[in-house]
Amino acid sequence: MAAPAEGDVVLFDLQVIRRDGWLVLAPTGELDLASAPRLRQEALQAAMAGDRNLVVDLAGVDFVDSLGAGTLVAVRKRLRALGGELRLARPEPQVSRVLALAGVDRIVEVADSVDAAVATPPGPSREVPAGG
Amino acid sequence: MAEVVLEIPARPEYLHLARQVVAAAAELEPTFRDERIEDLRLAVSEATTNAVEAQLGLDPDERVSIRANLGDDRIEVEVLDRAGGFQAADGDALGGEGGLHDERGRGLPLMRHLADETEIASLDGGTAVRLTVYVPPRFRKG
Repeated sequence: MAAPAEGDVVLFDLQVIRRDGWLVLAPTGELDLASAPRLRQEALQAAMAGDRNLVVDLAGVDFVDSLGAGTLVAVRKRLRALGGELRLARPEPQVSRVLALAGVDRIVEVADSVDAAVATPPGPSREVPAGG
Repeated sequence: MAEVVLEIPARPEYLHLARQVVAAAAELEPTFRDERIEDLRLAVSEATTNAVEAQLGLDPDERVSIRANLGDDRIEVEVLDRAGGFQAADGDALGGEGGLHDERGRGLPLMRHLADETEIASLDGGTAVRLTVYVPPRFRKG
């Protein structure tokens, strides 16, 4: 990732760390048409390189719209096809609300912390309980 | 009625600006609650994303207009593109099982959920989406 030039307004950044067999992607900023393609690209590159179990840590994301939510669904679908799994962690209230409105929280596990997200190993397609 | 007009290039990096301007305009209305401003911010993001995406492949230097009308009892935001007509698939209503695993199709149902009124009109050479959010009656002036 190139460092932003001086004077640039940074609307999106992405940190990647490894935790207990999971790769944790931590985007910062807004997840929309301008930034979601970068998260997708990073996630799919990781998956192609063998990291098929990903956590997206949403603590630093202060805005998501349906395009950002749809991107998470697309990433999940791709990881599943490769035998992997996607989990989400620490959404802020605005993000949490959009994930619920878009139905993402019904197909992707959402944890309160990164610790909780990586606490259980990737399992054989556990369904998210309804209403959870 | 005060009007705020913003024109942006049809480029994704301008979506943030469109959201900020509309939210800041809505904040000038003192009776408008924060949660409605968040509704409006998100609905405007959806409409503007559709407009930008529709136009991006055609001519990203063409403009998308965002026009916010601040009335006594409502805020109306109109998003106008010049991409020749509405292309977005009308996905399932929110909460439906169909489409849950699809990447696309959530924008329009989300706009309809967030705004009190959502109108989509095909104009000559483009699409206009009008989102209306009402100020709660007890706060209306006059």
